[in-house]
Amino acid sequence: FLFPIKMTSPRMIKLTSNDDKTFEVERDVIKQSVTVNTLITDLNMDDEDVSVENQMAIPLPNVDAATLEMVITWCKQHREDPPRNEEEEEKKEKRTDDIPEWDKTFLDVEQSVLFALILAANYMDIKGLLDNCCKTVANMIKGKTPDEIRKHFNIKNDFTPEEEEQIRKENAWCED
Amino acid sequence: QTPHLTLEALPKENVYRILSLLDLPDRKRIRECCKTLRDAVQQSDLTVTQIILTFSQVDGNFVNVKNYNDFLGIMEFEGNYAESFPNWLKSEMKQGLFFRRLKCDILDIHTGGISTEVDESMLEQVTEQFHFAELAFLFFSRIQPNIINFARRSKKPIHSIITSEFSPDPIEIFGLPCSQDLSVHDMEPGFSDEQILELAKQERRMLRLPVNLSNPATLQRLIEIVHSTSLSRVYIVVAIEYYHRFLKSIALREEGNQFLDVSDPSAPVLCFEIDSNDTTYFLDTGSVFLGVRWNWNNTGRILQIVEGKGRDEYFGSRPVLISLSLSRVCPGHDRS
Repeated sequence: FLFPIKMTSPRMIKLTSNDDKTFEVERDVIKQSVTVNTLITDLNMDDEDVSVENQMAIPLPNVDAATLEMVITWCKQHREDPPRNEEEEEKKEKRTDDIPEWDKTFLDVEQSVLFALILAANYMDIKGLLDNCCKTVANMIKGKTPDEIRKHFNIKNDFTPEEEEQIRKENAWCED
Repeated sequence: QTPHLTLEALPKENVYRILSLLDLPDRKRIRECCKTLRDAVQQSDLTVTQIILTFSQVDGNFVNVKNYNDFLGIMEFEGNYAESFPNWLKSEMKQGLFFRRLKCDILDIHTGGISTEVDESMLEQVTEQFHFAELAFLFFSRIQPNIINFARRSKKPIHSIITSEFSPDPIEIFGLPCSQDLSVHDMEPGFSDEQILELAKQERRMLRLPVNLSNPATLQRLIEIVHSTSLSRVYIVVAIEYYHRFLKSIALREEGNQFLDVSDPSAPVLCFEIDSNDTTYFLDTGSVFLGVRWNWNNTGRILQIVEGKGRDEYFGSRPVLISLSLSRVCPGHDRS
């Protein structure tokens, strides 16, 4: 005998990037974005019995399509993560060597992409993604000389020699 | 198409977040790198919120530098503080530990000893190095001329002053413009819990409440009350009214030292510090660590007195007067 099984499809949410591309993402996945989550709650979208086709898309004016796609991929990967306790996170020692392997690979991208992800994670308030992006950038900085850092991030040296000397003086006490 | 973004183009809050993950040498290098990031470093909270220096000669010269954010413990070192402090600091700096532990833009100076003379030049050096914006003082006993000179010359805003009741009025002494933060509310004993709570709720920075340590329940209740308020940190300055036994215990260690004159009423002032994030509290003289701790759990109960030296050992059954100063130490710097 075959029993009919009622399949409940996951609730989907539509997000639109600033370049007008719309993404459909599972409600359960995007809940990691505090910004989107708040919007959904405030707009009572969870209560609406509206098919995804007729659903209003949530505009994300600060995020382009390519970045949004990456953000969604990250959220899918981390959908099973336990909810973060920000108070506990604040208390933790700040480390940069604890980025999960999947994230390390995922974030091994061009700098501009990484920075766009930081902006998106910041805007969408996805702390886990923001943390791992910042740790990735911090790891790029660690151990480099000023010149190496400049080169790596394409930062122009806009110090005058006098200013540079002043900075060196100010910091000499911890370099002895 | 992802726009071409650079590190410098990130909003400062993101830059801070990245910088906060770096050790000091890395931050120093960053600071050398570009003005944008240097500004970010300077404007971020990467420097310490508060360093507390305790000066004393009671236990030989040492300086306690306490991390009041994470409260990782009291770091002590022997030797002459004026020389050893910078070396110790440098060593910590090199290891990148210092900034991790301490976030500080207030220099909080605790003067504990009776005969301690704080080296003004050392204070100036520390203030200069850390670009402290404000000063705070806790005087256990007397206010030293050196400190007054230093405070006057620095012309920095004084954040808070906590004194024992034996100290002269700091406002008079300093002769500096004082905000209402400096007001100390002396109260008669016998305030009810509700009255204390009401005062704490008014967000006054400092309250001085005489309470009776001989009744642990009173102290426990006070701590509960304080923790139920928005005060981020509390100082309880404990002045022992009947202290001869306590002094005797110190006298055995420091025989012949003039400060041990038991007739000196300014000697036995204890400081009891509480932070809502901490689990252990230290009762010390600011100089001699008594080895008395009250363990604390989140329900606000004093669990036990540890290290085998309980209250009775020091105080016996004699009544003890506590001056309780409630101080919101870091308004504007409270990152909770």
